[in-house]
Order: sequence, then structure tokens, then C-alpha cells
Amino acid sequence: MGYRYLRMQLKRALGTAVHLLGVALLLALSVVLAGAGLANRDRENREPMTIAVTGAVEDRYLQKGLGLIRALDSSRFSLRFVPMEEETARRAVRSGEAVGYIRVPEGFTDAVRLGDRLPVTYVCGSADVSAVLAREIAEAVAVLQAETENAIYGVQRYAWETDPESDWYGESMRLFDRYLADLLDRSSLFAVEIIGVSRSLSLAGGMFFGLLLLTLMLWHIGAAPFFNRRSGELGAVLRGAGVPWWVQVGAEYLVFLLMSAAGAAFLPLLGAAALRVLGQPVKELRDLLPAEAAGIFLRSLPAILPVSAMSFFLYTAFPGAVGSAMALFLNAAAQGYAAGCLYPSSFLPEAVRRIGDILPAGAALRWLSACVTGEDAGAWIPVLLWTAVCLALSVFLRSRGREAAP
Amino acid sequence: MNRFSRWCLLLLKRCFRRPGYWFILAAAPLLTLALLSAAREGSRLVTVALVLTDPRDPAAVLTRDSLARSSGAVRVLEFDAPDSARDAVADGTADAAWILGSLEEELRAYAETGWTDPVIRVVEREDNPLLMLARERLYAALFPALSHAEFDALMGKRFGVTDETILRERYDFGADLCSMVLFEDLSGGEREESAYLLSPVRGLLALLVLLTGLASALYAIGDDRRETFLWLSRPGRTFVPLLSHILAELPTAAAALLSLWAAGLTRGAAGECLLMLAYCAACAVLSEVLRRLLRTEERLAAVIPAVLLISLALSPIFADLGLPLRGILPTDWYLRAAMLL
Repeated sequence: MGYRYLRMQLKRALGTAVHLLGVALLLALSVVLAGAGLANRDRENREPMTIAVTGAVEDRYLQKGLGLIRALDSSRFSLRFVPMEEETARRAVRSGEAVGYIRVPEGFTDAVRLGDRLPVTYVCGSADVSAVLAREIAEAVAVLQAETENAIYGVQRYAWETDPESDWYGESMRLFDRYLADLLDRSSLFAVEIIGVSRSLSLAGGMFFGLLLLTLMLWHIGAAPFFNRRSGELGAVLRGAGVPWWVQVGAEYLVFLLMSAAGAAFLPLLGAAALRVLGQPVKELRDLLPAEAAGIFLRSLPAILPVSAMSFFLYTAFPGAVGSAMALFLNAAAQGYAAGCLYPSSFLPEAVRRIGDILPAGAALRWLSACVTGEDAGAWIPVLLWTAVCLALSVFLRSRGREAAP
Repeated sequence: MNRFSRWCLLLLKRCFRRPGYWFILAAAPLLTLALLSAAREGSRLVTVALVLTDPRDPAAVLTRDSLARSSGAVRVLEFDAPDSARDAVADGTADAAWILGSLEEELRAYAETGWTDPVIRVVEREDNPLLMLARERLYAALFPALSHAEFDALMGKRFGVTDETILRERYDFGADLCSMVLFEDLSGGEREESAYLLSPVRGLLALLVLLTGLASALYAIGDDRRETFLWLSRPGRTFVPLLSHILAELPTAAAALLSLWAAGLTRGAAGECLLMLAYCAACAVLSEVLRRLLRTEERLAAVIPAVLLISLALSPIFADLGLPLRGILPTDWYLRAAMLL
């Protein structure tokens, strides 16, 4: 009887195959279009980020500070400083033309000459990561400028006090040139050793697998016809005929899993297309032979177990197309955020990371990471645990009479 | 008017009878609360494993203290041995390891000769813009020690001063580094370091409102199938679905606005309410267009994930990528307009 129920579910799933393929194609198209747009933007639009400068912009000490910032700009984080009126700068920040603006107070020059400090204000625009990076550079420059001034004024004062006829200005400029040389040569102070992908994924690798997982979770919303055409009465009849709830749930989950696996087989193709247009930023997947790529794909398939079980549980708990769509979207957004599918997990607070790690999406990401790095022998435990918990909860809801109804 | 109000009440009542609807209403404040508490936890973009091989070296201690004091994008975890720091990088516990040796001596040699071997060992899994930026922070932390060394070298060479007390007295200008740059947001308030964790809240809540509109379109397709409103005139049959989408969105929009207000992310009550009303109307129109184009629940349910994913990717929710085609999405208009409030 259980086997016949499984066959029946398979037939139902085949009935929704065209529909699911359509969803996958739509998702693929949207992701590849976004990827192509991103790659195109990256190629064509290499304009630096604009930071407006307002207030006492003619100040030569300020110009020196801005020069220091440009010298510090070794990362991809390129900056351009444009002097403008404060109101214009505010409008530029609000419209997204500038990431922020610097307000230089009146009397800044005089204060510097007298050895005092009037703080400049950095007004941030958006609150995204670029604001944090701009702030980071500004703070580093503040340290550099203060220490340089300490040394230069120290030399000037000493030279002036001990011999007013001496070339005190030349001495201080000699020191300034030395600082500039240090700044330009600063990378020689660090010996950078790259150990490569070790026991965890790179930033781009983590984001790539995270986005694939998020796409899979959203793709599950498209499986609504499979669940919503299910007959609640049939479940009770089958129960009466000796097919226990767990067999019904097991058969349906197995079929849903096959559907997810079919989707998961499609997603790597979509991922490969997206990577192709983005120029292969994921180093873990660079230069893989087809057999190696297929091996990684097959090993990574169990990652769909917990996320599919979670989606299955939500379909059981929130019957109907609307309730389930909402629940699945919220599930994807919440898990995607906490597990690091939307932001790299290293950006998140420790507590959120811990929560994210124990969620089904976190367990799936851990498994995917283990597949690529070959490490983490215990990654299968949370995968199986979450699958079991979600299925047990689904059986419980069914047995309590919570039937899915269209 | 009375009849219109009764219609509105009945359409709203239909929404509130569905458990999924209550779920989404509760989700708006819960989502905001979760992101708010995450942001309060504080976070850094890069985690570094720091090792001082000589914990008594003054320059190394100065650098470590400066890194520990910084409130920027770098979180520092101190390790006792280079191997354990390296393991932390390999495990992904840290993004990089910075191993500081006898800095004092090496920086002095660098200042005197202008050449030295690298003074800090950096171990990374990969080099990316964030780690490059973190090294600028490291350079800034190292700079006071380097600056002292350069100053001492010049004073020794040019003026013959080697007395440590005189050197320190001349150098320590009494700078208050923290006050050199102040940070504000556009409203004049202080900008939190972890504000980027809260920046997606408005976008995610906007997606919830859009989802409510799309869900209402799914209900409307069910109504069409059951011929619920067949008895209405043709204009009535056109108007009722649109009205039901807007009415379904309004409570979610109210929950979203309340959540934004509770999180301190609103910018003027009147502007926010008007903008949200316009956004609800835009979402209702999009939902209705999709309902009329797709006609069946299956097709619409298939398009919902794609609409959400596209909105997530193209609108400035997590980052403003400035991609083409974004203008067709209500979420993009809404978020850009909210920046102008």
C-alpha cells in the first residue's frame, strides 16, 4: 500500500514537472541576467566612488590629507573627492551619486597651524558595507596624519628652539618625505602567505554556495501545486486502510526530495553560467575538470536534505498556496540572512552566526563546504538531524489532523 | 461611501481569516526585532587572529593595543602561538592571522637603513579587498611605532639627540586622535558601526508588502475560479481585485511602518505614510498585471519566487548594484524614494 502511495505521488510530481522546470528557468534567467548585468557594470563602470568635500576645501593641509587617502587606496575601494556646497553634497548623497561627504570646519587651517585640532565630520550616505569601509579608511588616515604631525612639529620645535637659524623647515620636510616613502612602500612591511582554500570556503565561495541554497529555498515556493493539490481526505482514508502517517509523509518527502534534486541538478548549471559571465570569481571551482565538477556535485547532493525537509514541514504547517508561499519566503529570508547566504557570515555578529550555523541552511552550507574542502567529518550529523526533526514534526502535524488543503 | 466601506471591511475580513496572513503580519516586527538585536550585538567585517611572539616588545604591544581599541571593521582575537592562529585561519574562525615579532628592533633598523625584511607575517586563505583594507588598519596601528622610530632616527642623525626622555617629550604632541574625524548620518545622528546590518530591514519589509500583494492575486485567481464575483458588473469585477490587493497590503504596510519606527529607521511620519501608500498602490498594480497575464494559481506561484529573487538582487536592499532593468520594480522606486525623505 505504501509503495502504491509512493507511485501515486511520483505521478503527481510528474504532473507538475513542466511547471517546476518553468520556475527553475525563470530563476535561472533572473540570476544569469543579474550576473551579466553585474559583470557588465564591473567591466564598464570602473568609476571610483565619489566623496564630496564641503566647507574649507581650499585648505592645503586638507589637500595633504586627501593625498594620504589616495595613497592608502590600495584595495578595489577607489575614491574620488569632489569639492561642492554642503546642500549640493547632501542631494548628491541622497540620490546615490556620492557615498558620503566630508564637512571641513571654518578655521581648520588656522587650528592646524597653531597645533590645535578641529575635527572634520564625515557624513555617511547609505548604511551599507561601503559606509563602513569609507569610515575605516578615514580612521586610518586620522591616525597617520596625527602621528605625522607629531613628528614634524616635534622636529620643527626642537630645531627652532636649539638653533633658530637652522633649516628647521627643510628638516621637517625631509621627515615628511620619509613618511611618504614609508607609506608608499608599506606593503614591504608585510609578508603575506596565502594558504588557499583550507578547511573552509573563500568569501566568494561561501557567497556562491549560499546564493545557490537561497535560490533552492525560493524555488521550493514554486512547488506549491504539488502540495496544494493534495487531498486531505485521502490521507485519512489511507490511514484507515493501514498506511500510517509516517509512511505517507515519507513517500511524499521522498518525491519532493527527487523534485529538489532535479532542481539542484539544474542550479549548478545556472551557477556555472553565472560564474562564466562573472569571470570565475570562485577560486574553489576554478579550472575543474568535468569529472571533478561532477564529483563535487554528487557529493553535495545531501545538502538538499535539511532545506527540503524544512520546506516540506512548512508546506504541512501552512496549507494553501498563500500561507505556504509567505512561510517559505520568510523562511528563505530568515535562514538566508542568518546562515550567510545574503551577507558573508563573517560579517554577522557572533550570536547570529551561531544561530545561522545550527539552522537547516547552516547545516547544508557546512556540508557543501565539507564537500569542497574535503574536511569536517561531522558535517553529516546536523544534516540528518534536521531532516529527521522536520519530518517528525510533519508526521506529528498530520497525525493531529492538520491536513493540507488547497 | 457606506457601501464602499462595507466592501473594504468584508475584503479585509477575508484576509484576516487566513492563518498565513496573521503569520506575515507577525513576521514584520519579528524580522525587524531579529535584525535589530543582531545589529546591537555589533559586528566586524574581518576577524583577525593576532599573535605576539614577543609579548614584552613595546612596539608590538602598542600595535596590539591600538588594534584592540579600534572600533572599525576589524575584530581581533588574540592567540598565543602562530600555529594556533594559522589553524584558526584554516578553520575559517579567522580571516587572517597577523604574527608580530620583535617589532621595536626591526622598525628601528627600517628607520635607520630604509630597508628591512617584512616585520609582520600575514597568513590568509585568500587575498580580497576586505583583507587588503584590514592591512591598512594594521598599518595604521603599526604607524605610531614606526613614526616614533623614524622620528628618533632623524633626531639622532641631525641633532644628535638620543635621550629617550627628550625624544618622547618632543614627540608627544598630545594629539586626541579620536576627535579628528566625527561620523554622522544624513539626519545628523551618530552612525552606528553595525548600521549595515540594519540597512536591509526596509527592503525586506518592502518585499513582505509585495509578497502580500502577490498572495492577494493568488486569492483573486481562486475567486475567479469559484466565480465569487461573477454577479458584479464588468467594471466592478475589474476594480474589486485591485481593491483587495491594496487592502491586503495595507495592514502589512502598517506593520512594516511600525517596525521601522520601533527600529528608529523612519524619516518623518507623513512622508513615510504617503510613500508607503504609493508603494502599496504600485505593488497592487504589479500583482494585478501578473494575475491577468498568468491567469492560473500554478503559473503565478511559479513567478512569485522569480519576482522576489529579482527584487532582492536588483533593488538596493543589501547593496546598490545599479543594474539595468531595476526601474521596473516597485521595491527599487520605494527604496530610492525613501532615501530622499
